[in-house]
Amino acid sequence: MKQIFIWPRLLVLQLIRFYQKTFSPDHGPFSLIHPWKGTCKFRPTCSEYAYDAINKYGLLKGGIKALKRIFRCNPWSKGGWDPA
Amino acid sequence: MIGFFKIILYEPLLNLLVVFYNLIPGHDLGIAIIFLTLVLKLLLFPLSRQSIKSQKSLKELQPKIQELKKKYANQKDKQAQAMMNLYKENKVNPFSSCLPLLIQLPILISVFQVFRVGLTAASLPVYSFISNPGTLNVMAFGVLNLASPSPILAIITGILQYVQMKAFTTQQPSKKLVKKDGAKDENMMATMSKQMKFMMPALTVFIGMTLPSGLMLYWLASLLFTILEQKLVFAVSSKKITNP
Repeated sequence: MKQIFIWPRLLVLQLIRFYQKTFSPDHGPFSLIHPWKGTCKFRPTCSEYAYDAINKYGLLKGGIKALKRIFRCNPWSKGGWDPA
Repeated sequence: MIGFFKIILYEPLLNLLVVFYNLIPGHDLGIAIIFLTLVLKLLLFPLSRQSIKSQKSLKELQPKIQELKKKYANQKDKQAQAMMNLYKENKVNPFSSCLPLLIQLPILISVFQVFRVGLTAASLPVYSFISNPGTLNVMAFGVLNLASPSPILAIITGILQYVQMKAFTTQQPSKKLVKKDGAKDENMMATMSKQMKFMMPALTVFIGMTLPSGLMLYWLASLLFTILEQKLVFAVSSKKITNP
């Protein structure tokens, strides 16, 4: 029964991987139109962080952590090393 | 959600466009579009200025960055961590951050909607304190129909896209350093970067040929202002470095 609840999580993780290969300005081909090949101030990047967080904490808790991270990734933050 | 964006972005943008249209002598919608682009660019300027500035100061850090790259050639995680610490120590970060990019997306969609729907609508939904011109004259500069696609405009935009990307890549870390490293990853990035330089302009032309000219004029003006902005910020910050 518990197995069913893991499906949405896997789907979202796959969606993040798809995003990284296509539209992502940090991982996809569009990274190359940005000087320094990316936009995210943090490492791991926001999408990597989201992947790790959802993998570790689940869709709800991890998802909220990922959202908070995206809001932290603004022009007034310092950026830096910040793993999930 | 769509209604929310309509109120905070689509309607103000459309109204601003109408205001410019009313104010400009001769009521040229083409010039109104260029003014609207300029206003949007000025609003977003503080965000882009910061990142262009730190790109400049990062050039001085290049030797240290290369050193770290060599040291952690096979440990991507460690390399990223060391790099971020280096940025922190020197109080620079070349990356502009994710949020502004996410903010620009709804603006872009709204502008798209303004030119796609707003211009063709029979009655303009303007605020009560702005005089409604009734219908907008879609002829710009007397020759360009802004409501229909124009291949010539698409090609010009494509060329400008190439110019803009070229201006960008000369500011990227030099290719010699990338080659010296010999890492497979970086070589692949370099080839991809070369392909992207032609792919993006080609895509611009192909997509541009199907879009109404009003939208293409916005795209063109926006590219032009981006190039000017890069030149300006670089000129100002390099002056500061040569005469401290």
